[in-house]
Amino acid sequence: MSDPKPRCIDHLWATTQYGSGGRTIGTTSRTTDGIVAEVSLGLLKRHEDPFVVLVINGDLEMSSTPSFRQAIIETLADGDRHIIIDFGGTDFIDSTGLGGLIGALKRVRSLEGTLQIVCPQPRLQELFKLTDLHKVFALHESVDVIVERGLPLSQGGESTS
Amino acid sequence: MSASGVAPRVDVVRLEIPARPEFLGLVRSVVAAAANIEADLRDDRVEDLRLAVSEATTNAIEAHQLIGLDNRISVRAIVSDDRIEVVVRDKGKGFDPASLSTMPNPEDPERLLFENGLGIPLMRQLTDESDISSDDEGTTVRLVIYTRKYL
Repeated sequence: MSDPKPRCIDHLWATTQYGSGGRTIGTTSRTTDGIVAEVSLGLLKRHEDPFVVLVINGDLEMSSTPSFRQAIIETLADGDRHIIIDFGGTDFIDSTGLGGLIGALKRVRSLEGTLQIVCPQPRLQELFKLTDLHKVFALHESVDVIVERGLPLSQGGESTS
Repeated sequence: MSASGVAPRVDVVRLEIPARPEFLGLVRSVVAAAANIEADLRDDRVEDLRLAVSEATTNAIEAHQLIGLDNRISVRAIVSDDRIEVVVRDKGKGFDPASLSTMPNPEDPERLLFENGLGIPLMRQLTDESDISSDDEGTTVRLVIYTRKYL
């Protein structure tokens, strides 16, 4: 006998934990069944002159995009102008995350900076194509490719950082 | 479980979440797990569904947050022999799906001004069927992926 047994996961609650220095922001959600869902955006920053590399670990969506936006604002406030966003450790981006990237590009361009994206996963490259945003963003296979090439002549000169 | 192995199979997974973004990951995990019940479904189609459902749930969370509504959002995944259907329901104020503005061409500099509005076109592109019904009592989004078509 076919038995369409609806299963209801109920009584969810959540705790939010913020790492020190704003580097790691994570959220843990639990159900009474003991199911745990973790959402986290691990953000590491390093300099590869003249670039600053923001390594994103975790999903870029509604829960993590605000901290991503904040990281872009802080990076620009620190004087960095040529940003590489490394999605090597990300396997999910949705339209909210793409919106965050568009916002980042606008901020960077308003300061005559550059924003380049490292996105080796075919699945995520496909998302940029589906939304036509591959025409707006420069996508690369690795940070090394970008660093070796350096800044375009029109963007020549050293980082102001 | 079907004892005969030939009876039509329908598995339903139901999830109710608070209207908060930190629950999106849970919805994605549950829907992907439900879709994986259909062993023949290609991974990229599971990913399509995962993203489409995430978009619909994001909109539902925003709809509740917009009016400070405490109610939960309901997500139901129905796995049957030839399709996986996911229904996301919120109790927000609703909107007119026909009124959505068209995105400008991506090469148009204006496109950079659009940080929102990507979600609903994506849901439509990623699924085999999608419909949105909305009134002032809430919005229901139905997303379907065919499984047989890809065998």
